[in-house]
Order: sequence, then structure tokens, then C-alpha cells
Amino acid sequence: MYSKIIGRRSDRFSGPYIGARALTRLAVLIGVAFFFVFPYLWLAGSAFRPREEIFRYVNPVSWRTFIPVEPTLDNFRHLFLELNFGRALANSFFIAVVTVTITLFICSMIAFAVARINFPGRNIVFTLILATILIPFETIMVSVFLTIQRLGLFDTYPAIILPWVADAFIIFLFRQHFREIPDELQDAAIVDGCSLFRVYWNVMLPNIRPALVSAAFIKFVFSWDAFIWPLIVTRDPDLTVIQLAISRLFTDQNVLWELIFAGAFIGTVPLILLFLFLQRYYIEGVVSSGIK
Amino acid sequence: MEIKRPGAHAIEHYRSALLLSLPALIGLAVFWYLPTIQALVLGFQDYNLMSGSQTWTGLENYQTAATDPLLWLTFLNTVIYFLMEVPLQIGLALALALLVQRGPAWLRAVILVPTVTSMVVVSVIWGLMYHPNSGLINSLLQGVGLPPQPFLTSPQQAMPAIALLMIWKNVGFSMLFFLAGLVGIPRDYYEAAATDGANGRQLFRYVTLPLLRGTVVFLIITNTVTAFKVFTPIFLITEGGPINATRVVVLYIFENAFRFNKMGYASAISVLLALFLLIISLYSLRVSRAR
Repeated sequence: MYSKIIGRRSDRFSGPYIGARALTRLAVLIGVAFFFVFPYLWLAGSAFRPREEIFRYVNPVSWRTFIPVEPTLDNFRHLFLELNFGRALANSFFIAVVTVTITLFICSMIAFAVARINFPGRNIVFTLILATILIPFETIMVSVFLTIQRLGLFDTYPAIILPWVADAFIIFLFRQHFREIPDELQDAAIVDGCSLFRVYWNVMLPNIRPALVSAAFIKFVFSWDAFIWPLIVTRDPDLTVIQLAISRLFTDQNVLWELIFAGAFIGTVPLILLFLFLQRYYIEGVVSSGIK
Repeated sequence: MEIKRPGAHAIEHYRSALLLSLPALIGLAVFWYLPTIQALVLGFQDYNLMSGSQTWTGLENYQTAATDPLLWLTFLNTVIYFLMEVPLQIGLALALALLVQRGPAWLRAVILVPTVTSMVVVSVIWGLMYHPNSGLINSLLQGVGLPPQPFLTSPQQAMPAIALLMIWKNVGFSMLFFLAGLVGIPRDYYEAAATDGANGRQLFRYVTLPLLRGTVVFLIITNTVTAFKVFTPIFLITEGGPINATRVVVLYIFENAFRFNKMGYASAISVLLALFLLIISLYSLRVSRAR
């Protein structure tokens, strides 16, 4: 899928006006790129500015608007030393890694069962999974919150993690990939005396490795992104995730712009780096599961 | 061929399938099915989290909902947001897909970066960019000779400003589905049409667009649901203001549940929202299949 998406170029735009057309095209390309990039330029530049400089070069716009004149690391120092951003970062990483790990295990297990084992009630199970897609989380978040409270999990890591590990989109993604594996592989393993669990672990999982990477990255992004849910189920400052920490800089009574920029920078850079490495898996995963 | 053998094997398969399915099924049961049932039940109750009092009130919450002017306003606001965000986003996504298909690879990456940037960071940065005096957008406007705008401080401009921010963040997703759809169109179709003398615009109108119908329907459904769930940027940047201009349904659910402690009423609104989205999704699916 991925190679097909990028692999094709059309030569429809050739003709006598190639010069003017090429220029227009270039202008459009640059305009579009600027539209998507300029917030990041401003964010990255401002994160390294001292307080006195933060409003000085915004208007009129010049290169100084995007590049700090006297760069400093003070903002980051302040965030890590005074506002416990290290803890928030560690929390978010820990939560994302645990969420991803559990999700990959339980979703691939059920997807294998639904895709490769013929058992009575299989279609009911699959329908039950897909039905959850029709219920947006926002419409049940009050009840999920009450469930967490009743389970005695309020203000704990499991409260942040557990509601997200059984993910219909990811089950669907894995099921699609399991179905594409040739039957001969499975039959041969069974004939050799493999149990179904061995088939799942030794034969099937290695064959859907790209889907596992896609799902892992997408789930990581979603977990890292989570805001409304941690906001609802945590109060303990030690459980603060990075998004909550950034949002508090912004909603604070005496808003300090340079700290917001630095906080947003910390919260964004890890994911952009991961994205640049895993871009093809991300695209593949989004398109073939319909995750959004 | 799948594994199907009678007798002892069938039982073993059944047991394995059950064991493999169990963890995810428990997760779905505890965090999706039961809360859904509970939301339905809570809608008929008055539930106070602080005192723990829980009393049956019949249809009272729904009667309150029917006559709550603020709920109707939040619903209207959400519809306005949806009308601004979804058509523009899908149209822009198609244009970008056509551009990226023939453009450089880095452009696609650039358009996708906002989709992996957290909603909080996007909200916060755009919130600062929209600042009337110190924001980047007003200085860019003044740089090209346009007057500065009030943006989020104006009841007229606040919602369009939120919609623009969300389009910027989400358009990459929709673009990916269009790119996948474009790949699915056989090249022969274009060649055949071109042989018949179709020009670029006609190729787009009569070959590309009809064959992307499925993608468009899919994107309309998913983006509509997403649009009706909008929360984070409004919660962070405008808090529903100015003068309720950006108060949307999910924000109202959140406030009723966690600020005013009306769990029952919040659940009733949630049920109404869920039903509304379900009807819209099923209806658009039916319409698209009927054609």
C-alpha cells in the first residue's frame, strides 16, 4: 500500500506552459508547506528565548520572529527544576509503553482467534468488537469514570491505562493482516503438532510484524496525546502526564509564554522524531484500520 | 481453508479461542459495554458524586434536556462548528492529496506532522498565535497590509478560529485516505478517457471524483463523529466563551458531570449525543449504499 501511495507520478502537466506552470506549482508547494510549518518554527524559536525577548520580535515579522537573538536554555531549566517536567515526561513514557505493550498482546490474541480459528460464536465476538466503534468514548466517559471509582482505581496508573488497551481499531487492523497469511503455514504447523498458542506465537505474530509496528506507534501517539481522560481520573501531582503539565502552563493565572513554548517543545519533539523514523508504518496503519 | 475438524479438536479450538479472546473481551466489557449500559441507566437517575445519593427520577433528565436553552445552544454551536470544519477539511484534504501525489515526498511528511502533534500542544500554540496583540497571525496579517483581527475574543470569529486550528491538525488524516483512494483508480481509466479527448478538468470530474465516492462517504462519517466530539481546544483556549459562542456539547457534558456534579444529567446528554451520532452514521451509510 505504502509504496503504491508514493510510487506514482503523473506526467499530465507537461506542455508548452511548463515554465509558468512550474513556477506556480512551486509557489503553491511553498505556500502549503509554510501553512503547516510556521507554527512549529515559532514554537521552536520561542522555546529558546529569554523572557525579555519573547514579545519583542513578533511584530513586524522578520527572521528574528522565528530565530532567538540570544538563545538560552533557561526555560527548560525552569521546567525541569521547578515544575517537575521530568516526572511528567517519565509518566507519559511509562504509561505509553505499558499501554502499547498490553494492547499489542491482548488485541493480537483476540484478532488471531477471530481471524484464524473456526469456533462457534466467532461472528458474534467480532460484531461485539466492532460495535464499540459506534460508541464514542466521550459519550460514556462519565460512566467509565464512575467504573474506575468503583474499582478503587481513581488516581492510579491503571486508571489512566486500562480503559484503552482493548482497542477495536487495532483488533480490526490485526485481523486484516492475519487473514492475509496463507493457510498452508498454519496447516503445516498444526500437522507438526503445534498447539494453537504456538501457532499464534511462533507462526502468526512474526508474519504480521509491520502491523505490530504500525499499531504500536499509533497507540503510542494516542496514549501520549491523551488529555481529557488523565484530567478526569488523576489528581495526584506525581501522576501528572506531559499534556496535563503543558495545559497547566497555559491555563495558569500568570501565563508565561516562554515556558509554554518550551513545554510544548518538549512534548512535541519526541513524537516528531519517532514519526520521521516510522512514517511508513504510521501511514500504513492509519489507512488500513481507519483509525482516527 | 481454516482449521475445522470435528470432535476433540473442535473442543480444543473452542477453548483456545476463548482463552485468546478473554483478556480483550474483559477489557471491552468493563470499559465499553458496561459503561454504555450504565450511561443509559444513569440518564434516568439523579446521581450526586459528593453525597453518593442515587435516586430514580424517570424521564426528568430528558425533560430538563428538552427545555434547557443552554443545551440547545451547545448543540447549535456544535452543528455550526461541524458545518465549518468537515466540508472545508475534506475539500482541502482532496486538494492536498492531488498535490502530494505528484509533489515531493517531504510535503506529505510536513502535512502529517500536525496529526502526531498532541491536541494540547496544537491548542496551546494556536491559542498564542491567535492572541490579538502578541500573536503571530495578526503580525503576519499586518505584514501583508491587512488589519489585525480579534479572533478568539470575538463571538463571531472564535468558532471559525477553532475550526481552522482543527482543520490544520486533522487534514493530514483525510489526505491519507484520499491518497489511498487515488492509488486504487486504475491508470487505464485515465488513458481511455484521455484517448476520448478528455482534458485534465474532465478527467478529474468524470473519472477521479466518482471513483473517490466511497472515500468521501467514509471521511464524512468519521469526520462528522470527530467534529461532534470536539472538546480539548475549546476547553483550553476559550472555555466556551466569549458569551457561550464556543460552548459545545462535550464541554457541556464535562461541565455538568465534573463541575456541577450532575452525573445523571450529563449521562442523559451523552445518550442523546450517542444516539444522534449513531443515526447520522447509519443514515449516511444507507444513503451511500442506496445509490
